[in-house]
Amino acid sequence: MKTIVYDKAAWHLDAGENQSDVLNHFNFIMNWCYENNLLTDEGEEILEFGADDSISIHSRMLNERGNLFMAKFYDSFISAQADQHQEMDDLLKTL
Amino acid sequence: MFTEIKELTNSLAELSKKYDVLPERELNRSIGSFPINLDDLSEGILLNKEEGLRREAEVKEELERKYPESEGYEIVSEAYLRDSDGRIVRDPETGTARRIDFVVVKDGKVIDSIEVTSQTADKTEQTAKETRIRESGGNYIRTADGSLAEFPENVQTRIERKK
Repeated sequence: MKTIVYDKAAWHLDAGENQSDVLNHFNFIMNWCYENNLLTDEGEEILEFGADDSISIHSRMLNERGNLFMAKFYDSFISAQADQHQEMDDLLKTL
Repeated sequence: MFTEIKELTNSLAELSKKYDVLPERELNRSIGSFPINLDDLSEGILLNKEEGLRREAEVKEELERKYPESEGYEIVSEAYLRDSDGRIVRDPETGTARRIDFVVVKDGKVIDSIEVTSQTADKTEQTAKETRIRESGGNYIRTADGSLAEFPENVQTRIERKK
């Protein structure tokens, strides 16, 4: 089965973005996915490990609803931090 | 870029408090003096993704030609280095993991391993980290059917640089 990659920390770090901001974003996204039951076992394994410079967000980490959310909305939240969770919650309710 | 977005968002939020009662047109005029535009910054982050996806699509296509599925090759993407029990192995120095963009497997063994990056990104640390993790037992990856494929000693991840 084809793996769809939605984002990778390396893409931003290699482009010179601030590491702490990038990792905070990925931590926020992973935790938000967990709180909303969007992760698979593989996703939970990565969450437990913690977001580091190796992290990517891809389809194997997400269940069907999680993949639907990422495919439709992720690009709008590509630099989102915790203060945008309400907006994401509202969009998730539409799925 | 992330920092700039956060700073600008905070500045706009602060500024908007002062202009709650102003018509939208006046508020827009007041923020017009900002030297940067929030949309431009988000586009910058999206561009990182766009370029990353493009580079990886190019490499994947090359790998699919070189290692056809019909000849028993499997290309595994987003593969973490794991131990013989399937657990992700941490780098003893940084505590972080090593995820590889593409790993090619045949007959249960890794035969090629590729990290895709830009022409200029420094990958010295990633390469050193991989060496330490391999020395700590991180010599396996998980394939699509959940089985583990072993990295022979002579296979090292190569860095594929694309424009």
